[in-house]
This record gives sequence, structure tokens and C-alpha cells, in this order.
Amino acid sequence: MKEINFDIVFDSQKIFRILLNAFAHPGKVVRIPDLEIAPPLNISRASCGILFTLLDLEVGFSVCTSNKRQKEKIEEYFIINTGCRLETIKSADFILALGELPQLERIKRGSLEYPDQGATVIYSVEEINQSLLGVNSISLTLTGPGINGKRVLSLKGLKKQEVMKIIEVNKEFPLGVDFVFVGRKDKFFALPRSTKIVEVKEI
Amino acid sequence: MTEMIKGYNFAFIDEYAKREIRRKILKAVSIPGYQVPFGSRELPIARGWGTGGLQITLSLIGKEDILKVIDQGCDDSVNAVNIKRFIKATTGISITADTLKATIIQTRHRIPEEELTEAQILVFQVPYPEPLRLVEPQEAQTRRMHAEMDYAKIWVFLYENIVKWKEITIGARYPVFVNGRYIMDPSPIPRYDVPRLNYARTLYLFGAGREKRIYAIPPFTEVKPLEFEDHRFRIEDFTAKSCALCGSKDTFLDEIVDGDRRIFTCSDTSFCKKRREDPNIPKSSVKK
Repeated sequence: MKEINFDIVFDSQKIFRILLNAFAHPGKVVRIPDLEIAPPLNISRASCGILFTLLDLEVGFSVCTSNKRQKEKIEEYFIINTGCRLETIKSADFILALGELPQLERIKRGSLEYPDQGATVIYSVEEINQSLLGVNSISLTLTGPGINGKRVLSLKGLKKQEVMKIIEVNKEFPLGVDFVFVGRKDKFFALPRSTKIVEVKEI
Repeated sequence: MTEMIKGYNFAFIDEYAKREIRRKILKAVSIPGYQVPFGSRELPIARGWGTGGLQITLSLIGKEDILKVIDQGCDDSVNAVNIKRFIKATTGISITADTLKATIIQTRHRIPEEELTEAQILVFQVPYPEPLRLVEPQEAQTRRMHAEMDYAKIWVFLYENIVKWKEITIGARYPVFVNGRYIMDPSPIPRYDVPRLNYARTLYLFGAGREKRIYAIPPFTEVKPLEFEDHRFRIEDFTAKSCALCGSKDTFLDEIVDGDRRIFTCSDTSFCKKRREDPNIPKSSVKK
């Protein structure tokens, strides 16, 4: 399961620049170019690309899914490809959440002296779009650093309750968790802790 | 210009180092103005000569990038030339002096005159990342002060300055307040450049190699110089002065003393060159 076609030097560099652009412009939907990798089960190539770019033996990683067998298989895939350490949700630096994250409140948020020790969550949802998606979607309005005024985007596969939990977790800036939401077609956007979610609408 | 050096990784530093720096950059962007500690690596340039900025640049750079490096606004001074040669030799990417053509600009102590775009990244070399060091020598204390937003000491320092000199005596490295949370050292840019940090279109990354810190100002972020209601921040005064080479009246000028004669020239040499060819060229090409 070792991905031999992922170029550690140049694919990582490209992905990092897209990721940095996403963090500098929270809520802006961006895309990762096609990667020649075959992730297990149905985790997206974008999530894998982002994690291959950021994980190594220096950081703790955890997968959040209700299916225990799935969890083991995915973790093994990332250990083989990045050499990362496995941690619990509570102590991990990077978390891959597959559609759910029941322990959101327990994730590391850093300390006031070292807020950078807060975790980064790669959150896999169904669909992401800059303009409105149809029924069963939610739309978020964001403000904060990196956003000129307001930015609006739509998501499918994330409940309003979960968004409220994210707001709760990030309300004590600079403590907090930084999120990357990944949807179909390798699209994603970043939601760093500095971003304020000012409106959540269910459609 | 320079031949590629063989036997090293692309962009010199190893992938583990790049990955760590990249993780730290993302945290820095997520917490504007907060100094993220990082494991500053050995480089073939001495610490204090731009190694912080250099490590950020090396972690960002890809084959398609076009790089510009300036030292106090100048493309051709020793520090800038050495850094450019080094990056060219370890990546093979193209180098430019044109601010508008560059995708990444590494800078020592200036922001280019021409307005940068959202597609560009400006990397600052930082000698002293801690703005509170002026009033507090201990790292443990300054860290606590940032944590608790206990900024009284620096305000008192500025106040005492005014009482004593009727002016805040900090020239370059003027402390700024970022996103209403952290006081930050903007690196020794002149006061003239400080207002240009506020709600800029470009991502600003700061690297201090010797002090092992990375911090950032994302685009469209509030950055305010520290000032009092009855004593406002002001920039250098160039009234009735202009560049001796291009005639510009709206750029930051360097003073050159030649015997009894004092002349002023643009600090941004690449823009000065453009102005000499076309005196009407605007500083901002961004449509608003």
C-alpha cells in the first residue's frame, strides 16, 4: 500500500502552496491537482495528499470514524506512507475525521503560552461549493483575517449542530482547532481558528 | 548565472525540515501575529543573515516560482545577491528584479513600493521577533505577557518616550497590534511601510532564523501601529524631497551624504529604474 507515485518533494510542495493559499483565504474553495494514489476504502485523494504533505514521525495522528476495522486500515495506510505516530483524539496533532467527530470538545486547543499546539483537523464531508448547493446543505458566512469583508460557501454532509460545536471550540482565540474541510472532486477549504462563523443557514 | 549544485535535495534543506516549517507556517497564518517556535536549521549562510526568511522561502518554493530578493529595497546588495545565488543553485528557478513578475519576494527591511497582489507572498527576514524584548529581557516573561495580553510595559515605554523626547523614538521595527490580539515586531521596516501592513492583499510571512520563530499576517488583516489618541503614529517626512535619479516624490527615500552634499534616492531600486523609463508609472496596478 506504499504510494510510490506520490512525489515527496514536488507533490508536497504543490499541495502545501495550495493549502497555504487556502489558510490565507479562509473559506475559499480550492482544488488539489490529480494525484496518482489509491487510498483504501473511500477516503479522498485530497485528504491523503494534504496529510502526506504534513505528517511525519514528529507528529501524532488519529483517525475518527465509527467503524473500528476501517479505522485500523486507514491508520496503517498513513503509518506506511508518512511514518506518523498514532495518538488518541485527545492528544493528536492531526486528525482525519470521516464525516463525524463526536469528541470535538476534547481535541487539543493549545495553551495560552503555546496556542500553536492546537490540533489540525482534516474533516471529510460530502460536498463543498463556493455558491449555493441544493437541499440538505448548509451555508456558512465567514469573516476574519484573510477575508475581505465576508465570504460565503456551502457544504453538504455537515450538520448545523456540528458547526455550532466548532464555533464553541474556537470561541477562545488564540486557543482553538484549525480545520480543513474536504469534499468531493478533491475540493477543499480551510477554516483556521481566527475565522469567525457569523451565520449558519440550513437549506 | 550560477550552475546547479549536485548532491543536495531540491531547495537544499531536507524534506523533514520543510515539513516542519510548513506545519509551523500554517499555524502562524491561523494565529496572526503569534510567534511560532520552529527548529531553525543550519544553512551555508550565517544566522542573522536572513536564514529565517530563507528557510521559509526554501519551504515554499517550487519549480514554477519566480523569485525576487531585496535588501533594504535593493536587488543588488550583497545579502540579496548571495541569497539569490544560493536559491538558484539549489533549485534552478528563475530570478527577477521586477516586483510584479515575482511570485515570492524575500525581503530584508522593506516592502516593495509597487502594490503586491493576492497571488504573491512576501517573506521578511527578521532579526528580533520579540517586540517586548525592548522592555522585558526574559523569554518566559514575554511569552506570559503575550499569553495574558499584558502589554502595559510597552505602553509605558512609549509614554515615557513622549514625556522625555516629545516623540516615540522607535524608527524602524515600530511595534504593531495585529488582529486586535498580538503585539508584533514587523521586522526593521521603516515607519513608512507600517501602514502598508494593514489590510494588505498579500500574505506576509516572517522568519527569524537565529531566534527560531515564524509568524504571519494573512491578507486583509487589521494591523495597527501602537499610538495614543493625543499622540498619533506618523511616518518619515519627505516633504519637498524627491529622488535624485527618477524624481519620485511618493516613494521611500534613502539619504546619501557626499561631502557637504546630501541627496536622496529611492530605496526601491527596481521601481526607481521603472520610474526613470516612465515617470508616470503608478505604484498600484491593482484595479479597485
